[in-house]
Amino acid sequence: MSSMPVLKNAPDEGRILSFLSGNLAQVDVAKIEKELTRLWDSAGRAAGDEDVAWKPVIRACALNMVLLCEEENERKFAGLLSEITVRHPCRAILAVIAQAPVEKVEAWVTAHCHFLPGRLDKQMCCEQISVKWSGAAFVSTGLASVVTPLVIPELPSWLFAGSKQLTSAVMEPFLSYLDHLLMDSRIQDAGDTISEGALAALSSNLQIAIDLAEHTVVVDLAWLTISAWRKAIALAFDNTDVSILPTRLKAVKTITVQYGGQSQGFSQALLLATWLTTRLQLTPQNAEFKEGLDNRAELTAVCSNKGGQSLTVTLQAAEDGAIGVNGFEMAFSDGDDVLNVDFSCGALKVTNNGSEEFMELPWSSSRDKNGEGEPAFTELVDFAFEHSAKDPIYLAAAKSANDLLKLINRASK
Amino acid sequence: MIEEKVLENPLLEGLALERHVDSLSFVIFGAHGDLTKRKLVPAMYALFLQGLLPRGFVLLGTSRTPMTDEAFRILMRESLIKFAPDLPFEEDSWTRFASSLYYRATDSSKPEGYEVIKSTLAELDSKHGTKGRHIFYLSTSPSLYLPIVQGLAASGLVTKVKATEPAWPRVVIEKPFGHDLASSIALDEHIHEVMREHQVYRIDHYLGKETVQNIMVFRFANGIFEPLWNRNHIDHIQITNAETIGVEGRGAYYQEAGALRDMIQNHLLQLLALVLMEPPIAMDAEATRDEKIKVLRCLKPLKPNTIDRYAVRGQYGAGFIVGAAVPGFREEESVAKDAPTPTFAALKLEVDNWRWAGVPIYIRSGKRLAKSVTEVAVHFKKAPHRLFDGEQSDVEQQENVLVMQIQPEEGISLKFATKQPGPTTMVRWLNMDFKYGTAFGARTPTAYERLILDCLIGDPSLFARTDFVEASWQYIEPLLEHWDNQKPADFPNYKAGSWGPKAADDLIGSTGHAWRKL
Ligand SMILES: NC(=O)c1ccc[n+]([C@@H]2O[C@H](COP(=O)([O-])OP(=O)(O)OC[C@H]3O[C@@H](n4cnc5c(N)ncnc54)[C@H](OP(=O)(O)O)[C@@H]3O)[C@@H](O)[C@H]2O)c1
Repeated sequence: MSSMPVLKNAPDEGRILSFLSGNLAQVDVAKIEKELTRLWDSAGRAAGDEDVAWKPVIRACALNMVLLCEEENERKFAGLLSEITVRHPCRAILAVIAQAPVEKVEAWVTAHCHFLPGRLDKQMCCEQISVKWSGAAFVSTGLASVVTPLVIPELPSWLFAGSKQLTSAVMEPFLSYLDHLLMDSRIQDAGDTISEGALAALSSNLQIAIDLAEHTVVVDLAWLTISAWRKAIALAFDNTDVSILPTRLKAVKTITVQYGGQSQGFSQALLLATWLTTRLQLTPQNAEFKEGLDNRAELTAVCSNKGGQSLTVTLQAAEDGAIGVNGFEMAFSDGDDVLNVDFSCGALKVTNNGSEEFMELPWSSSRDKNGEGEPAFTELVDFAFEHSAKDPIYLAAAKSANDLLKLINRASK
Repeated sequence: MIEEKVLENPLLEGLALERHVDSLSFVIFGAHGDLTKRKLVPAMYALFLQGLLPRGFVLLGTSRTPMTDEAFRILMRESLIKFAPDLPFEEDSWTRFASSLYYRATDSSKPEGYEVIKSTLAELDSKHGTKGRHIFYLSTSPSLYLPIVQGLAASGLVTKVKATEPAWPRVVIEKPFGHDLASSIALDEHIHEVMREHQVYRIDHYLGKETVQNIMVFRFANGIFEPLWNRNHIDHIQITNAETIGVEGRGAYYQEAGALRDMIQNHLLQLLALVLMEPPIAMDAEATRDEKIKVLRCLKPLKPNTIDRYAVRGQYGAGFIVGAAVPGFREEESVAKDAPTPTFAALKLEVDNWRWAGVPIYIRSGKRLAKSVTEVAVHFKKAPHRLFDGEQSDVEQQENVLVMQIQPEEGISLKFATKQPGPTTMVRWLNMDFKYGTAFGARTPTAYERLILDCLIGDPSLFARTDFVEASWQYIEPLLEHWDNQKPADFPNYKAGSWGPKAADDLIGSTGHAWRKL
């Protein structure tokens, strides 16, 4: 973050232009709102004057978005916030955790502006406030005491947990003011194989989701990436084209989920598998990692239910392929047929017993990439804002995924 | 349907499948026409990309021009790229969509054509699993509506189902629905001979617009406006539909239609009904439409001897639109040199009911006006007592105005008084503005997308019901007759680029009001 002098008197033209252009201006932590008001006020008064360099601006705000992250990811998340403001006018608050010997809190403000579609005479602007808490050990309540009063009341409020070392305790002071938690249980670690550390991180992320879901709406981006897969599999059991009788769900014997991106696709594959097992009331009994084909890691787990159904789940890392779920296969104990779901040029192709059907992928980024990969971050955020209610189906899948991960840990110990 | 599935298929739970569409075939008459290319096929493709079309789906186009399926697909692909640049066109998705597109050349005025359509549908039903569910979309000139409905019935493609049975097949009818009261009743009578009302979808694309739908949400989801929404607090209402465009190559059609038939009988009376209606008992199709029709029934009928006090007509002469010289209506292509057609109409309406008695409602609609804007402005009564010194006594006291803007920028604004900072209590009037485009960044579906999806699902809420169409014709019929009998002596009476004829100002001025300066 560039350190600019603290604003004192009426902002001059250069400073307003800098503010409207997305540059950070440092402000006194106790006077954040005041400084913002002054900047907007000056920008509004001068706009339209012939000799000023900016166009009239419209300030818009439909929600609060607080993004919590560590200092090393600050740039990346500031970029994401800026992208979100294009589609969802909001007050964007970047809450940054930094390591430093001396404890201090600093604040900066800026605006994200863009022209309205088809209009070059007006810009729509959202404000961003960055608050950085530095110290030897992070005190969540300290940062929250600066951030939460900045939340505009009566508008929906979201916390996006972008930090790696989050715990329920870290987030609780924020969530007492914010109604929704946006998290991403996708493993960021880009290693070739799945490390124990990555699995532990996944497990703790899922635990946070489970702990907080009681009081807060929790939306996991990993879960949103697999919604099209869930729909494609579920609709294979209706009565068009590929139409397997729903009663055959009781005879599902094995499922195999192929995922790309090594550990970066693992969480999605696991959630897809546990979504299916929880829908069939199956609970994991044992789980182990083993070397699969071409030395690729393979997770197998056996799940069963009271009805005597036993289902083997295999999660297979694909050698190459886009990050996330790449393929799905289901076999039955009452027949030799197999249900397959794969990518096929912008759609999911569902096949069974000689019949096939396509399900268009609803996200546009898939089309650019020839039908592969996951929705872009901003598209996932769009979905999240649309489905902002508690999701018991996710919660069940997350709990089961976490139970399954714990079984592996036990097996490997 | 979905509930049954949820019970037996646990995988469906929690998936957003509530807007479920059964597999079906969608037949477009007039498939070689403008509307199909500009609106219908782009809307269908947009629904397809969102995964909202059923997997068993067929779109069969028909008109007279001979074309193969392949040529039709190519034509539709080209139109899509040309007319729907905001849709993410992708070759693979298009290929999958296009595999559901078929075309048969038939003449809708001849019986043979329906046999071709029938046998083609039978073949396609079994190929695509569309199970004999058919929707027929009439996108031809209105003179073909009746021959098509009768042809469909004679061939057995359309049959009357019981009121309690699912509405298959359905027929969608484009505007204009009739040319006057008699022709609209006659058309309806013929339609009802072969179909029941719940099988008929009369499309009014205005009702598919987001902001029009928002009128209901605004009125009935907010607790603070409805208590004020009556004669005690509202002084008058102005509904404006102003267009800068002229007849755009549709001179022949417009010469016959005019402003009353083209805009007021359908779109603006629908808007009016949404603004004035009572809260429906439920958000279902019939409850809302029941309330809307009551509004039309409460309109004080226009009487020939007093009509000139309630209605004004105009026709544009040559003028300037945004700096460019444009011809007058009578100089437009395919328009007669002495055409009496009104291209502008302004009405004063009175509503005889408990809620609105004594509140004048003004409507104006015109072509080649100074600016393109469609809005509903609700003017509240002035504060009963002038309290503030700073309010200059020589300046006309102002009032709160709530504006629901429909075009071009969708939004809502409220004008209110506030204190001008300073040592005296000077009152200033400001606008509190809410613009849709700034609050919701995502792409808004087009009106046709929304309406076609509703029709596929079988939800007629946003379609015009027979009684509404009849009542709307009934209301304007005396005016149509009056204007037909009294040829206008002063046409053209407003310049292109102005705000209409002077008589329109006098009309609203009769109650001490003035048109909003937009
Ligand atoms: N365009 C719009 O934006 C718009 C908006 C609102 C409402 N509408 C209404 O929608 C309807 C269609 O409008 P449009 O603009 O698409 O009209 P259009 O361009 O004239 O299209 C009508 C099509 O019908 C076909 N046709 C004519 N006679 C036929 C016959 N005997 N048998 C079979 N097909 C025949 C013609 O194709 P062939 O020559 O190949 O037969 C023609 O392309 C009209 O009622 C109009 O009022 C249009």
